[in-house]
Amino acid sequence: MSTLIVMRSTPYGNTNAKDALDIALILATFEQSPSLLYQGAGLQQLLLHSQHTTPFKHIGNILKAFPIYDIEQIYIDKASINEQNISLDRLNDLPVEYKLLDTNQVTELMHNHQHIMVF
Amino acid sequence: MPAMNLLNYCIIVRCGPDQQSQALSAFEFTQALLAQGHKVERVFFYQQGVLTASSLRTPAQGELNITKMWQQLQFENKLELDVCIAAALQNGIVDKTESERYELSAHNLASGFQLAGLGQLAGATITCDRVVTFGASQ
Repeated sequence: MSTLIVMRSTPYGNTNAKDALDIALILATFEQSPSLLYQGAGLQQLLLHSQHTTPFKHIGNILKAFPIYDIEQIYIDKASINEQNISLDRLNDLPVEYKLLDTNQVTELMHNHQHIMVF
Repeated sequence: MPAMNLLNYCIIVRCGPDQQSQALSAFEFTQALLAQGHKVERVFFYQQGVLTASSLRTPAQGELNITKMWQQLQFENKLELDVCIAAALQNGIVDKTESERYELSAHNLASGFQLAGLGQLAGATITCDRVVTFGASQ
């Protein structure tokens, strides 16, 4: 397994989310099929129907491109769902399938990748 | 002393030169790798890290000039210092070519650094044994 990108930032607080997605897309272009793990505040990037009042481009538009780029390894940290007070049905609209991981599985996921980048 | 396993590294610098201890850690780690005979395939400056590559930085007297330190290390080791072009343009770091392309009034990419695409970083994840990030903001 190649690169795991860990998404821990809110979508618009800084450029982390966008910068991480840029790396994910370019890795996919290089046929490196990156894995993405959403943790903590990073889960807010997955709320596609969030009220979007910021002047920034909606991050959800990039998520919709995942299938085109064959980005299919999407993981969500189960503990973060409670921590962020997000109900699972708000993730129903994600354009990609995801796996929920408990803490041990998150550890295992990290062990299984050669490179890890945290954003 | 046991024979050391020499590896191929890519260093990612994401902090600006004002985040002093993190910026210095990135530099010193790279310097130590080279001193021990490891290969550093490239140093990739991303996000705020691109500000390191401005030739116009003028730190106060007595303070570290991390830009000059990287330039020296690059010169001595033929190191590749790649500056993410998208982040560079966003942050006002341009070379002569980009300056002309966007009809800007000046260019300021410090010598020894070069603008590069994210593809260079993607390539490094394939060829490098280790990719080490410095200055990741949370």
